[in-house]
Amino acid sequence: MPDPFLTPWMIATRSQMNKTNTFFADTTVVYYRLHSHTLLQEAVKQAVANGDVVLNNFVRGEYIRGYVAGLIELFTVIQAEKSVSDGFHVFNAESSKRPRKLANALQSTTVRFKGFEGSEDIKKTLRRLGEYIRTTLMKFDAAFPTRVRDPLGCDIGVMSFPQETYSEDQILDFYKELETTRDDPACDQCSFRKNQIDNLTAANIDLYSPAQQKMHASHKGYVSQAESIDKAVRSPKSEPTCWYCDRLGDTIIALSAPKDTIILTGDGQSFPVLAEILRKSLHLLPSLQTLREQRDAPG
Amino acid sequence: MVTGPNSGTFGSSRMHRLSDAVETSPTTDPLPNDEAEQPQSTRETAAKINRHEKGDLLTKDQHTWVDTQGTVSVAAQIAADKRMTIAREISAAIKRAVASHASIKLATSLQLLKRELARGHDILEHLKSEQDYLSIIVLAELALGETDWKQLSKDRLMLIKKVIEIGESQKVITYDDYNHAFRLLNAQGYLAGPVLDTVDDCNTIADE
Repeated sequence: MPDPFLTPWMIATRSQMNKTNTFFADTTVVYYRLHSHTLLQEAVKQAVANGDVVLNNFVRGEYIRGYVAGLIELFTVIQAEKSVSDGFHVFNAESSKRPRKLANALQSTTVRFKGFEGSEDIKKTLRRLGEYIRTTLMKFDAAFPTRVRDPLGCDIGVMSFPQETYSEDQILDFYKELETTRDDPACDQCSFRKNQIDNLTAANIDLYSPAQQKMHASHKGYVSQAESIDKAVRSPKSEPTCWYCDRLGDTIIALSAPKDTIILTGDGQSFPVLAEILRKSLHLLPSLQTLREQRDAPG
Repeated sequence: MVTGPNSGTFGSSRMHRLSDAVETSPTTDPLPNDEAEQPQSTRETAAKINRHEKGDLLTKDQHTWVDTQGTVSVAAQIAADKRMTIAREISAAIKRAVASHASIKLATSLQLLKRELARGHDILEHLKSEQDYLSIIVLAELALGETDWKQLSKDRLMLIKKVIEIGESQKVITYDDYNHAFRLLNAQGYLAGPVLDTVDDCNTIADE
């Protein structure tokens, strides 16, 4: 019976996967590995059983912009509300506007901190949350120790907390640095954009035209990326801006994947199309729903 | 020896150099051997990482426990005594939890242990020289988390005891002790929190 997770271009990569492979992980893999259901964690483990996993600092930057920044916002909301439960309530209401996997991870975290002894005590909860925020990147670096070059040179992706005795200032200083970088990034976004346009033109690859969008209209994630690529290509801006990276993360990750790697992702809405167009290998992890159905299937 | 991404030794056996790529871990990456051969963008990335790492490589303990003569101050000694007392109490609570493992008594033992850990906040939060030990207590809380008491393993309790015991006799607890405790617990996966059993629909909605 054919594997339901494999589309034709992925079947082509199955033979490669029997050898020792290098998987280039996107941000969904980070969430699966660090913050998701054990079935998804196991799916990642199985997928990379015969290979190495690498990622780049752009992916690390996406994690920082999403999860770490979200936790710091939770930290400050609790301070502002002067109440742990009110802080969680306000934060969770806002979290629904975030992408689903990020919202899930953040919501899990709030549930976790509500469960601690004396969690209504603001000082105790802030200390626990602050310490937890500080360990997020330590855990990330331990789980993904190997990086490949980030051709975009994301400034956010190289941020880290200082190795010193904990203080609340570390959390706020980190956020300030993040915002300062966002206001005026000094990355290589412009040269990255130019190089990629040149490379795609030379290889005669049509990444985002209306015809491509129409052909892949069922992949809403790809269509949304393609619309943003169109804006980015036509942008007269001569300075980098995080606005584009916020919207073009999947495309940048797919373009950045070294050619001898297999893109590993749980995002079936944009990466399959991007990988097909860019002629790159891809391994799509199944959704949690599919994994549950498999687990619960009789026999 | 503490090993980990920040020590520069972690994963060295797994180092993997791709044909057209340079490792740029923010914590492990050395500058390329021959900068002149690297493209401009690579050099800039490496320089940025180096800049960010410089601060991190200097482990700082915000302590006042050592005076200019290198002796432990009286105030710090008093603080250390308080910390040793709470460390012994927490340690004893863990010991009771281990002893009651696999019985219904464990539920009560765990509740008492969590209360001792929370009391650690009250006692240590104002003692400047003991902040790294309070960080270790928070690690212990995170490692206990809200794991279902029936599923809590003896190994997990024993490892938590091991990191708590650091505070029982050592005169000074530093960031390095915290870092060591973090790596011990993280290596066993005890710091990963449980997750909500929500439908993860990354395959059906647009990614960010």
